Amino acid sequence: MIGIIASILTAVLTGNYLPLLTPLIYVISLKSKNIALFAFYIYILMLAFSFNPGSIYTLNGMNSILVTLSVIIVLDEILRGFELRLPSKEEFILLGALTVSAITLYTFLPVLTAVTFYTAYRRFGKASFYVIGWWVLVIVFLYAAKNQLIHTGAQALVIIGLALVLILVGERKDVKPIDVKLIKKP
Amino acid sequence: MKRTDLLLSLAAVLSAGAYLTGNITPALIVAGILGYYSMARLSFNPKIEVERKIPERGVEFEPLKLSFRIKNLSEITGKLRINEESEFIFARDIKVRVKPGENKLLEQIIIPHRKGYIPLKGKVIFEDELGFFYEEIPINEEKLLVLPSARSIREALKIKRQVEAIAEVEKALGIGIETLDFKELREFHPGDDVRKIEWKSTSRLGELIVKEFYRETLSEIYLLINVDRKFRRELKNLKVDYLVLITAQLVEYFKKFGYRINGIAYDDDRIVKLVPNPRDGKTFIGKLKLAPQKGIPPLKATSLEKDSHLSKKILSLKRRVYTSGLVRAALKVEPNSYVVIVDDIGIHPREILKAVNTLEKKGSTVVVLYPNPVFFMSKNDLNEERLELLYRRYMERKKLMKKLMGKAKIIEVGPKDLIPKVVGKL
Repeated sequence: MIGIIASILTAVLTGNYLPLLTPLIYVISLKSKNIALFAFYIYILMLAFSFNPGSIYTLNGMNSILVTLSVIIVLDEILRGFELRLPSKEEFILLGALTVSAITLYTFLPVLTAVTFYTAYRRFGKASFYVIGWWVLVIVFLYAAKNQLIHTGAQALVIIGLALVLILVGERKDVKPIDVKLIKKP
Repeated sequence: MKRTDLLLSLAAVLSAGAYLTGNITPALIVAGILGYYSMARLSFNPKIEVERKIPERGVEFEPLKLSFRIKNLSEITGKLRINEESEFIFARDIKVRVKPGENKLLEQIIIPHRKGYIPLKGKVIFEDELGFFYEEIPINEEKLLVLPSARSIREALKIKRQVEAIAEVEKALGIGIETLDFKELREFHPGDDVRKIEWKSTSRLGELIVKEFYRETLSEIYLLINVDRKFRRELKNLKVDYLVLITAQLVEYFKKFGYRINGIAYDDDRIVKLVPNPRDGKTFIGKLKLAPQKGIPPLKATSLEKDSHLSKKILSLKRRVYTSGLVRAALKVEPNSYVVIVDDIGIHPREILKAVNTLEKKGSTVVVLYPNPVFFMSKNDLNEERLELLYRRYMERKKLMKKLMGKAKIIEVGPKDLIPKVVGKL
């Protein structure tokens, strides 16, 4: 539910109305999580390339962070299974904070960031600290290299390059991935 | 395809797109997806305790409850899947969501469709809530005792077990192979092959008539009979009576075809009596003096494993070099003979194997006629416990017999294998 509200508010604040499609993914997830994941795949491809804010050092660049954060909440909620029910007390508080902060982009961005990291901590525990640390590292790096990263392509490359560190951190742990049929035979 | 693969491939596509278009939005979404994947992977640390309780025993084709006590000691919520993979058990899978710190008591209904000891092959799998990763939780290996159902016992009783013991002995020994040369027509004897019945003559004379053919050889037959007290021990005079009858029956049958018969009676340690070429079955039985011994018959099958070092030492001290009565009897048999050993394989299986090996080395053909004492138990004083004990003993003996079957020809017989006509004559 937080993902839907966050996406709608992001759509309103950024002026890009593609995030308004998120309720459709939630509806699909009621039927099948795997089909919803496919729908999410297509939605992300459409959303990512429909939104070109230019440099990350501009105000428009901040909009990309809003889109990213709302997308992560949506992904988490559809994978965990969406249920049609009234929000819990905790969800009410988080939704309230988001709605109230949506007056301006400057207030909404820190609240959405806090809500995302709070939910990540609730779901993943201490593992979320690695990712929070990574975001801090990226911000520091981008700030330090502000004069060198003039071209947006270079900014994108640095972000992707640093994101690969996350994979390396995750790969430290041996796990067995579940092999599921994404499309089941009727 | 795995869900994680789908997400990582999305990240790869977005990365390429971000670089080619110089757009930072896909790059940030890639960072978000990889961060999410990394968190999911690092936080997957299942600590689940599973304790399974199985009932003492079950009945074939009847539902049975297994209970599972589950404790989630990890910090993540996940799905627990319990399935039973034994091919002899039908079971519904259990799927349950467990939160961190939660204790659950689950019940699984299973239906065993085979009797005996069935090893349970339960599999417990814990999956994370996202459907990304799984972990197999170890579970104690146990065997479930499944008793035969009343229905299967009834059905088994319907199939009349009429083993033609003597015909089987003859077949197993392969005595004097018949030629194609016709010898005569004669009266049907118990143990004769029904395919040899001459139907025209039978209808003309009103009694069963069989065709007799010349045989290639008339060999010497040795009957090695255990007369030890332990073997004769029983609560009701069933088994020894049966032994008397089957022995007499064997002698009569082979005598009729002109075979020379030699009897050797033995006990655990020595040869008790040699009976060379008895006139008929009754004389042979008379000389053996087989009398029942009061007591509980040894139902438990002895292990086929070798003697312990200590027991070997005791035996060698007692008799210097230990040679059992059966092996001594086997040494008395002339080379290239046909030998029938009448003994209980459960009492001394190793000695039986030794004797069979000794005889086979001499070029003899051997068959073991094995009266299973479980078949001779009285039905009147049966209760649930006694029935279970008999069943366990029966299964042990079956297992032992299977092991021995590869090394020796064994014919298992019970009281139903007697031919009424012969019983009447004797």
